Amino acid sequence: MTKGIIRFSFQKTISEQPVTLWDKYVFDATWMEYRMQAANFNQKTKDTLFTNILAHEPRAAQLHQMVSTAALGYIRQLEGIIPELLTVHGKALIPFKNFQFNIVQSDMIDSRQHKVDITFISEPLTLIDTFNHHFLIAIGDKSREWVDGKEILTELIPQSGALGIYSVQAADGYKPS
Amino acid sequence: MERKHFLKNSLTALGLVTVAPLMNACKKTVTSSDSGSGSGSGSGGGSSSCTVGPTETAGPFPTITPSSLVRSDIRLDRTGVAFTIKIYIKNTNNSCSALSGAIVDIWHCDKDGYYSEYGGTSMQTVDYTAVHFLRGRQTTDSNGLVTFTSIFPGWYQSRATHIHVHVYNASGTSLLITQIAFPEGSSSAVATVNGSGGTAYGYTKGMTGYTYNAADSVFSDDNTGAEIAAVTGSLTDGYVLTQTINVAA
Repeated sequence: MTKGIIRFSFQKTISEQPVTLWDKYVFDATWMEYRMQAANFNQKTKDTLFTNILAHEPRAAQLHQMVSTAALGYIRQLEGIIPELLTVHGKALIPFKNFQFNIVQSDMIDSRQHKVDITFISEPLTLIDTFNHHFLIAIGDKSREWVDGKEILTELIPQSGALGIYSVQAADGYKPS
Repeated sequence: MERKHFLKNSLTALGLVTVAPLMNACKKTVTSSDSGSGSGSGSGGGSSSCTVGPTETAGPFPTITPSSLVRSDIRLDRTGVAFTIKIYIKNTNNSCSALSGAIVDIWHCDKDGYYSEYGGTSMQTVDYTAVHFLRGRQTTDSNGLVTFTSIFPGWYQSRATHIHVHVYNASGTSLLITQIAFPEGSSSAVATVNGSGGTAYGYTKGMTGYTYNAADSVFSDDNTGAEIAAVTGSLTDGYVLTQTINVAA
């Protein structure tokens, strides 16, 4: 029997030493957007550091959303697959539609302070089992196929500090009809 | 059904953003002219005839993409009287000549006085925190001009009708944050749009309780009228606003 339907949350952090070209584009675009938008909130204090601006001007919490506009085009380029959430075979194939963008820290002058994270929320997956620090999952809700005794294709996902479970739900196959 | 409810509710609670599946930015299309420049060490399976090559599934080939704020038509789902915004940016450090390459952000409220990206406050109880209408970004051309397609803004308590403008140099450094005011008077666009003729376009507030420029907290010190734009047009043809903003670039 399966353990139910889950959705993964996978957090990717982008900081001053971008790992991939995609990371670098997101870093550059979001830092520029931060410098532009933060100017709306520091006219009196001239603060440049995100946490200082936020401390003096609570409205600056909008910066998370305002700066995310610069990342949106890059997130679309992922074509709905969570990057770097890999199977044991090194393949990225976990689908997502939703994400949350967050400024961890930034500064209008010092790019080394700039750090954002993007949490990708996967589409529903069937959790079959966990063992040896791995999740055995199938993409989509396969609980009906399980009950019907059909073969289900699976993926083995290593557990990691960046990977969490966003939601759980009883599998449809076990619901009273 | 239950799961959908659960997921939908939890998404709303956490303020997640959904990616609309609308772009094929990474689609790699290989044409025959591209394949002609190869090293010739392939397996020989390719054709030498002049045909379009196969389209491959896009991979992780990132391309530089502008912010989603970059748009000239900023209406999105908002309706109202047609409105064109023309802003000329000039440089006081260069004899007030046209400044090309400047980045200009604008934002204004909808016909009912509501802003996108706000909500749930005493100023604006309607929650528009997750939508982005009536905000846009353009870069000035060789005449220092940016043009936006929008709808005529409404008004809200304690403020005269206005448009917010943020001007940056080409590298994104803030040069000026300002606002554009509108002309007043019985035949002005503000009076006409908010008058009986504007009702058919959804402007229902009238002018009772309106804050005029002279009493406005932002514009009342503008003794020369430098912040008041020129506005021409009509309800049926739409209105065109033209304003020049000087910055020190």
